[in-house]
Amino acid sequence: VKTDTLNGQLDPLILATLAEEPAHGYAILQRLKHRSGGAFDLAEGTIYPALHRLERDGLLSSSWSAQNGRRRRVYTLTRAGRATLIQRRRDWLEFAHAVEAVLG
Amino acid sequence: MSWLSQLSDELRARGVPSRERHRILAELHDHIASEPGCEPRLGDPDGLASQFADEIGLELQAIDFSSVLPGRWLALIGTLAGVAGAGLLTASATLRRSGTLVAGTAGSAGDVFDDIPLIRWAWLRRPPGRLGAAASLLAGLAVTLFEWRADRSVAEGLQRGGVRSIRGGCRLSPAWPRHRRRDAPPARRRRDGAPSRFRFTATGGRPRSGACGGHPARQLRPRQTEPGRAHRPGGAD
Repeated sequence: VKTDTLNGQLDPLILATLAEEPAHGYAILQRLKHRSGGAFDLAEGTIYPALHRLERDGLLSSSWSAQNGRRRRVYTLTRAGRATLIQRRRDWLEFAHAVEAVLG
Repeated sequence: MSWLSQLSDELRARGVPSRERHRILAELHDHIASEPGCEPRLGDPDGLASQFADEIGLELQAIDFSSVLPGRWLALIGTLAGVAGAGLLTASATLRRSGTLVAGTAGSAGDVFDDIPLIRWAWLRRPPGRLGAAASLLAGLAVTLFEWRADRSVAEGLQRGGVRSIRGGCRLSPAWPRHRRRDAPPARRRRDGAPSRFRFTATGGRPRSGACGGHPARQLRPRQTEPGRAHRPGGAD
């Protein structure tokens, strides 16, 4: 799946990967790859601007943490982020059912 | 030049502030350290910097617009309000007048710049970020404080300069009798103990020189109709 196809869907995908537990940028990307079976072919750097935007919108919060002597920015899903994820999941299911009905 | 150095240059070229730039570089440095050699998969530094500039740069610019700019104006207004306050306490009439003017306008100017975040929200349809909201709140509090100080200065100015202007109005009134009817009978002198300046207004007469008030009858010389008999105003000759 190319980046163009993912446009507009990257935000809920990031929120979904953080629903389990807080993670840093690289770990989020690994989870995305793992859960999608490596189907997403996106420039890895693109998740960072998205993470910053989601944080600015109040859907994520972040803080520095030291792990193995390295400083890492760890992102956590906020309450608003969790509510948004539920809503986006519902929207996606409606959309997917509609597309499936048309495509057959 | 390394991939991170290129990204740093591109971010700087797009005006991303250093604090945000360092955070981005630290995150991506950690990413590269987690999987050495992954730079090509991160994407083109130029394209990524553009994305950051689009996603974050605009917001940072807006925060700068909504908080720093009013802050600068607040500093200026605060200085002017302070000068105005000092001017009100001096004996110089010019300083007092200009001080009152500045103190009166400082509050309004502060209001305008305090509304900038609201204008920005209406214009861009984007609510201020947390940093911007906090800065705006602080700026609003500062404006309120300065306004309070400016209002106090105006009140002081009115107490000091306002009395003068009332007296000044009184000094202008000698022109008034020119417009009064020539055939109107002279007003009767009031004996109710009102202050002289109000007595003057009530009678419509001409004031004594250098004073506000005085009855016109005092200014009239008795007309001699018969030797040893004074003219009675309003009476039959």
